Amino acid sequence: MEQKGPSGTVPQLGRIALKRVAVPRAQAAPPPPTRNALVAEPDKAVRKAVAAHLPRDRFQTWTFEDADSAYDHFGQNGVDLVILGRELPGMAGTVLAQLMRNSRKGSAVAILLMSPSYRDPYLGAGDCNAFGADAFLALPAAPDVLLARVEAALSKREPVARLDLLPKPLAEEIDRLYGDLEHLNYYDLLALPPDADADALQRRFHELSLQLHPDRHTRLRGRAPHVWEKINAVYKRLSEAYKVLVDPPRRRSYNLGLRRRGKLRLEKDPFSAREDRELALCETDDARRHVLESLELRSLGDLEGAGEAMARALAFEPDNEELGLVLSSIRKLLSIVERDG
Amino acid sequence: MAAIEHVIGIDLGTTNSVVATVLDGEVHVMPDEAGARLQASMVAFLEDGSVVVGNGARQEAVVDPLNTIYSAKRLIGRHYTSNEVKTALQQFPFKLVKGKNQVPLVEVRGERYGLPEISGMTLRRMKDIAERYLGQPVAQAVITVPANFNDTQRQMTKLAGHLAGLDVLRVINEPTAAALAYGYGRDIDARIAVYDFGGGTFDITILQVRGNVFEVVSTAGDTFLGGDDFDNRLARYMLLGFKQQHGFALDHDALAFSRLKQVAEKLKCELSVKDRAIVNVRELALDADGKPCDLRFQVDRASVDERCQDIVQRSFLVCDEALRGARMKAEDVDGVVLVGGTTRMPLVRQMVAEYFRREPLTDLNPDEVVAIGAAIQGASLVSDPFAKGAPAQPLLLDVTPMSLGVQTVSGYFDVLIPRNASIPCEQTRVFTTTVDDQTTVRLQIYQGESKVAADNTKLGEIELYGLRAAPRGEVEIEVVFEIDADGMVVVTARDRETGIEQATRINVAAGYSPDEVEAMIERGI
Repeated sequence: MEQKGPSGTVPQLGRIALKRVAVPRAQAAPPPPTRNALVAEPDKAVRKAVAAHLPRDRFQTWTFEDADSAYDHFGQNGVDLVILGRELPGMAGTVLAQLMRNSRKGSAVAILLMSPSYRDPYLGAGDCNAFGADAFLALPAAPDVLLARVEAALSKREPVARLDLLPKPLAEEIDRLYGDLEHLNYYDLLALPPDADADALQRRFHELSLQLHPDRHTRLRGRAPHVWEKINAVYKRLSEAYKVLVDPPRRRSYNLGLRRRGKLRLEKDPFSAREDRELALCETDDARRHVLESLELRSLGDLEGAGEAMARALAFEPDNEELGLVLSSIRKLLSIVERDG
Repeated sequence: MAAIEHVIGIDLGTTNSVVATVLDGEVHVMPDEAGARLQASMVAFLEDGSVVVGNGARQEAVVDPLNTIYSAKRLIGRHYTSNEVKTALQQFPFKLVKGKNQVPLVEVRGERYGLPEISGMTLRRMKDIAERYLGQPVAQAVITVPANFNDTQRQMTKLAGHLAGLDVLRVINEPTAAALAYGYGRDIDARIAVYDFGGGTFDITILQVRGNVFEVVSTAGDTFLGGDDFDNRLARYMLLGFKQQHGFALDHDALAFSRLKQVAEKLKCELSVKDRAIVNVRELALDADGKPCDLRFQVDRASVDERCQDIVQRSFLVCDEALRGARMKAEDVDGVVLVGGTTRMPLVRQMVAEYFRREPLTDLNPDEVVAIGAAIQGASLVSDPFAKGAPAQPLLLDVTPMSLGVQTVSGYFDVLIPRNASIPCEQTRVFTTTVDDQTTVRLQIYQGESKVAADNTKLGEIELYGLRAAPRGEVEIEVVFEIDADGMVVVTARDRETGIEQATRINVAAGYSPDEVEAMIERGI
């Protein structure tokens, strides 16, 4: 990247290399929205060049050379755009990007990840999105490429409410839900109390679907792809929440995980070594069939049914002690769950 | 002002197809130039090189069966080794050959065609009918498919639409479309069961309808239960009659049986409107002296009904399953909609009424109800429900009819997205390497309900390649399996540590490569 000498000196504040670019406010015309930008990159030349190319009338830019100070600044200030180097002292840029993205303020910030193209050959085309990041910039890059990527990243995070595409309350609702997607449990997502019954769930889900189902927004697919993606992400999560809560065994299992471990989503464990092991214990196909059923019911949170299925498996192989042990462990778990209500 | 763009709804049937659209808030089933509302799903290749599609091809099927293609829907998206293709090889007069990648191809007059091309010709015909009726070009369509169509069959149907010059906005399930046709605009709060008994398959769909929201609560099906079972039963009944008449059995005469099956199908239809019927089959077999024996068979509906009751009963086992999935009892259903030719049998209607304890709804033409629903959905998809003064549009909340999963190391089926999951939906799963410096991971994707992967339908294989070399277990690839609103599978993968999108290669079983699709488009239909 071509380096231009940035104006002003860079005051050294401890570890933090902080640079403030003065933004003169236009007096006559209404000022364009100024956004706060954060650049974290250990290579001084790259850092300075990137900061210098961000238009001063649009961005107030802060630069950092390591991950910790950048993250501190991010946590304490409102940041709209983050530009991260691939390798930062203290933390990989990819990890920092994820950390920022998953934080409370994370959903609204546009993140651009930079990397020398030789390091990430699969990113060579520059169109691959890194985890948590909205856009990727392969270095070296021309200034106009940098700005194009910045715009791409920003547009992905543009609040829907700022675009005149949907009725204001709906747009704000989309922004709110999308922003909080990783922080809301199923009940909060649907805005329902924990004792909501199946009928209340269905009515609420239908109301939400009329507003947020992607089929209601097909026009946006080509016109505003990032809004379309947000709506899809929100709707998929809403329907996941509804389908779990409306099914009693899965709801029990979800409630348990939520209460005990603060798990916001119900995740089905992948077919694990345990499952293969239990199946290997069987000598007959009949027993195997019932063990599979038992495993499936356990994955759905139905321990009672799982115990019954395991007992049926055992009926075909009454002398199989190992299977007997599995059954007693299911029953033990069931008694714990029942005791805990 | 630019002309309003119309979206057409097409019921692409095994035997017949229907096209409809919404005009000024009303659904029109569009007839062809001869006034016919039903088109035969048939394509005849004439000697002079021209192609006749629709009702005009029907008589060609009689005079030139080798060059007249029908029942493309039974074959589209199937593997060449599947039972459906095997049956077709025995029964259909036209020629089927094996193409690349297990794809069945139709060979007619020295040319080979993919099934999407044949279905595409029928769709093109329906498009032409609509354009003639509307007096303007049509570009967008919603096409219906059976609820039990898997991913490949849906993809191929969409491809057929594409080849016909249509932008297929959505592929929707036939039972859902039927429910939409019945429930839309009635502002009801009801639970509706759609009982869809076709020629070769049965399925039941249970919906909760509230105002404009049509939520599919559960669906279940039996792909080996259909009108054919009645034909088989009747044909065996006739064999019994033959034995009584001539004193010897024909149990192992395959040719005689296949003739009787064709007679049985006609007999079944006759008995749907009459109480008794007589059948004469000339020279069905030769006796011990080599003398030809005719079959003369007189039968009344009651005795046939008695012999077929258990077939209908089997459909109720599937209904029980769907009701369980919906956490409902049969009497909780507020309305029953009948779809499919087999529901014309009085026996079926009567037993359905007994099972659900209510008379089925029959006020819409069963031949047209699916296309009507597709047209309503089409109009809904292009409207802006948030515009001021926009009429209320229906919203379909559909589900995936089959579980989607991958094969485990030991050959079992690991379900990622269970059936009856509402769509669109997605599931993320992490896969890892099992050998040091492994650079590719292969995932075998299946759809179905069997616990053993190989007993399900293989959709294809996904290869994650170009993984970074690392000790085994260190590279973790996060794979997102998505089922989109069309019920089709989309897979994306990324490296968990670097967050980099992982390159994937998807080899769709019984599908076409991009080059082959390109060639089809180039050739045109």
